[in-house]
Amino acid sequence: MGLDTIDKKILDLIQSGIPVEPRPFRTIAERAGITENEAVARVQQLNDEGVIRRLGISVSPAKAGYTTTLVAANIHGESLEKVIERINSYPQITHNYERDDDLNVWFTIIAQDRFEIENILSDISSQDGVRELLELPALTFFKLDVRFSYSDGDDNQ
Amino acid sequence: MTDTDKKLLRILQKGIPISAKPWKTVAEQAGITESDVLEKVASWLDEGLIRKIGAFVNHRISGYPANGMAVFDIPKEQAAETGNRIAQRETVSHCYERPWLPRWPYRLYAMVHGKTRDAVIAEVNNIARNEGITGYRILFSTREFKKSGSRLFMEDNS
Repeated sequence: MGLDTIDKKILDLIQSGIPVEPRPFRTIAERAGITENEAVARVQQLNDEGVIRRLGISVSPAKAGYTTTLVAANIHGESLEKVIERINSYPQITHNYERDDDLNVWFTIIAQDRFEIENILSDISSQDGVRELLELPALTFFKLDVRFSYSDGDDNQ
Repeated sequence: MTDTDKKLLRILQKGIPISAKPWKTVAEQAGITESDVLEKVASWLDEGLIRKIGAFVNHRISGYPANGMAVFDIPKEQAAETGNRIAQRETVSHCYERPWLPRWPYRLYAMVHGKTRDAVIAEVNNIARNEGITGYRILFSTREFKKSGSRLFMEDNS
């Protein structure tokens, strides 16, 4: 994956935002010192190579009227795969990770309301092998923006 | 929110086309005009319903392959100040306050990124030292079972 200076500049720019105007890549191109066509081609290339996961939007679930939570679970090893399948079957569950702790499964829920969350949790807690479920909803958001700087070089010690 | 609004949000959540006139393509898919799209999107950005429009990078192949979830035990009164300070660090992508429980006595959560697992551990130790926090740990993910984009407004009434 060879990112040159222009790629890095583009990545910094488009992580900060795609301008809401008819020709957004023209603005990005101007700032990166290239043509609009080249900007589109480079973004396409970065997308094809998988450097960019997606070009899209991030919506605030709370502003959209949804309720969210984080759940930490202790699930016994032998039942793990089956319970994971059950957890993943819910479209409301968007992220699910195994972590190296007693609380070995961590997942997030985005639901219409508390009732929906409680129904999902009561179903999951009744599965074999689920020993513990802790609900850890966010109380305050200090930062929720995944953005990585490219142009500044080795800034991530 | 109208059915057209929901439809537009669903389309945007699937992705913005990489082309010279992406909003025009989105408008065609939504069955509205390009200027309607621009106006809607701008107002949603203003009111915070849309938090960001742009590229989401794959940090695993973007030079920041390692990440860990750090959890810190801090008193409630210090949560805002400490949280805001930790959030400013370049290595931290997400930072939240969550309930402190006797079973899980941590209040502040931060996703910390680095070039290696050791770099992440060093950075978390660094944060804890700077903040004078002694109760903390780092949880690394050993497997990703699911990671899907936002699934809001999936109920299609249009």
